[in-house]
Amino acid sequence: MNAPEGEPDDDDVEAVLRRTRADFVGGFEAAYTAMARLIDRLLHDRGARSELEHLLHQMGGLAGTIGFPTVSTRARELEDVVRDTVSEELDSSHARRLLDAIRLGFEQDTAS
Amino acid sequence: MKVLLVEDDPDIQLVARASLKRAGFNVTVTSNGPAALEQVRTDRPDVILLDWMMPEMDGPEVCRRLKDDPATATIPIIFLTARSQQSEIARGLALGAAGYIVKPFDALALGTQVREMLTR
Repeated sequence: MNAPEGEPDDDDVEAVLRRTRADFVGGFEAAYTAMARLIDRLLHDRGARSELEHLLHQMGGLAGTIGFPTVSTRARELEDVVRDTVSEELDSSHARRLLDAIRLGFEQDTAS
Repeated sequence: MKVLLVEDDPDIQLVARASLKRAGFNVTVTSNGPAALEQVRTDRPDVILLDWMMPEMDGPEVCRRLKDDPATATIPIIFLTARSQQSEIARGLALGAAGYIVKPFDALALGTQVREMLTR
């Protein structure tokens, strides 16, 4: 989801937003897949938990800023669960449902 | 006016930088806390826009170190973060931050928002 640096319109905020939105849309499926894999490892791998929290944190902050408010809200919901639930009580099925809610939010935001 | 943007997400860097430049700021960007501390000492900014959650050293620790150092204590620091719980905002302000902007932010108004915080 990274935008290339040093392009001529980097100082034009509207152009940067357009480009960042396009990159976000193009990279969403890969981000979803990466997070689904991390959820599969959640119960056995502390590194997966912190990596997933980091990805969700970034997605929540970026998505709302560039025009994907539902994705932002739902990413924040899953981030809260991953961060605030003690390891023994983490339910990967619940996490997966919340991840699917992010995808539905993405479809809603891109359709509106 | 020079602003140092400390942010590890490259997409947020691009959007925030463009918004700040639009508002007339001269923008320098660093991606982590240690680089920010080094940058502040080599080229003192007029204001620092600081992410909260970063690898290596988080934003609150960067803020604490800058406020503990008499040479940098007076530089206004504004947190730009997705951490939006009241306790986190209170903690940021207790560390001496001049303001707190929650992500998601209005990309078209960020620069103006920073200017307004500096004139309070």
